[in-house]
Amino acid sequence: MIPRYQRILFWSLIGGIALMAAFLLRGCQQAHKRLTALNDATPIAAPNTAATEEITLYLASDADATITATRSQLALPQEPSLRARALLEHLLAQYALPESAHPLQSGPAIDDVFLMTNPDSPSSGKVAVVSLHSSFVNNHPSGVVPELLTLNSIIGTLHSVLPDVAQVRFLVDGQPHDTLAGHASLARAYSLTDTSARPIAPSEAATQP
Amino acid sequence: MTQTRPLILAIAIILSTSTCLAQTPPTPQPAPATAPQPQTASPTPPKPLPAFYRNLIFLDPAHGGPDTGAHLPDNALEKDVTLAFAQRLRSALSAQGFTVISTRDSDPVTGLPTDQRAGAANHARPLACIVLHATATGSGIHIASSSLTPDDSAAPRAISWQTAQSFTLPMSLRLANEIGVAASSTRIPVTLLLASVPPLDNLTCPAVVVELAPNSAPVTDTAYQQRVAETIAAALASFRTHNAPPPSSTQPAPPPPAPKSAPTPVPAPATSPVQKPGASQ
Repeated sequence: MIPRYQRILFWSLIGGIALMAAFLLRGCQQAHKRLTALNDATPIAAPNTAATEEITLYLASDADATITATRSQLALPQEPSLRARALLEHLLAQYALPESAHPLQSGPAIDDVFLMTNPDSPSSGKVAVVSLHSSFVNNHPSGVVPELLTLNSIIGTLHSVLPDVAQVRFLVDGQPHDTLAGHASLARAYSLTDTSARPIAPSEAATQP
Repeated sequence: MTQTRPLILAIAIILSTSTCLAQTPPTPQPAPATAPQPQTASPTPPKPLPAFYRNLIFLDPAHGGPDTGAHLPDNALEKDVTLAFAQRLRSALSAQGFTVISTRDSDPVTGLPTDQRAGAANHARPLACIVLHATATGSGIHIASSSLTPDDSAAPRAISWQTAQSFTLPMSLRLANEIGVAASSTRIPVTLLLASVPPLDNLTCPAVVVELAPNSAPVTDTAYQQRVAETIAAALASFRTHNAPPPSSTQPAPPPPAPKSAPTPVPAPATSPVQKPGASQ
């Protein structure tokens, strides 16, 4: 015959175990939610008085090597270089989202954006100089296609917000750099144009001189 | 006896010096900067170098040495994959009757700068320059031509190093298309792109970047590499037929479209220690 106090103690311990298991389960769920939320690196919108406006993001897709223009709403500052920087930060943050078609690592990407007169030919329009963070460059996927898509995405988006700028040059931490991640050149100036495009299909007719 | 020795020695020196002078080729003289003068009876000028050697292909397995390139699955490095693929491609091209020059046949201790690779390619005057890369993203093969604006005007004697490819770009686009058609016929997914990938913009030969991507097999798969290599070799043979017919063919062969006068980019980089095994025109 089990004494009464032992039965009470037994059931109390069972109840305690059940409570602890429920507490642990809930803790695990909350930790999972918190970690998932960390992957969403979309910057929290800073409080500002600017009204949201329609912008065009040139979003890349690794699967078919395309750049697609997508419209979105965003509040941007009025000063052109700050405007370009905020837009590029927003663009590259899209690629850090878990469902991105062109996945890039989250974190700071744009160090600064400068607008200056072209020193070679002052009449040919302004030049935008985009300084990238070295951490962004070091963590960028290596390959001709992913690097080309990142550059074309930046160029197209910059063209949409700065239509009077003719060229763009890239720096890394303020210094000239040969390539983005070993393939796409950062040593040359790129014309700021609409980069939404699909890969060219090979054709039998184009083989003849 | 002692008096004749210096005399024999002097005669031997004079004879050897005159023999050497007789065998020295005439030094090519630069063209005058003024307008061309009416031709007079002058000695036959030296035979100019051909625009390119129709049976010569230049391969550049990218990266090497401390530059490992991309880190691919299965702990493979891009520099090793491009080297292995270049060796397969060399065999496939040799089977098509091409002579092949490569920037590297092993993993060098120090990296080869891209300017040096371009200098070696421009010096060799090949029919085509193929820069080889490998990646873990995408599928099939990615073929990139230079994103420079094509220049249809006659190439000047000295052209900018940064835009040297612009005069040959129409041929490069045809080459990329030719490889694309061949890959499509062998059911290898192909993506044609315009990109600025060093040293593409500095090359004066028809040039493309071929990036090997997985296609139901990883890029390290030898059978897949062999299949792609044979496809590219067949495409280059077709490109040679279309763009550089043999000299013995029918009509007076028109001069090859580009490079028009085998221009020399400036500033010329240091010549690479690449060995040319002998190219046939």
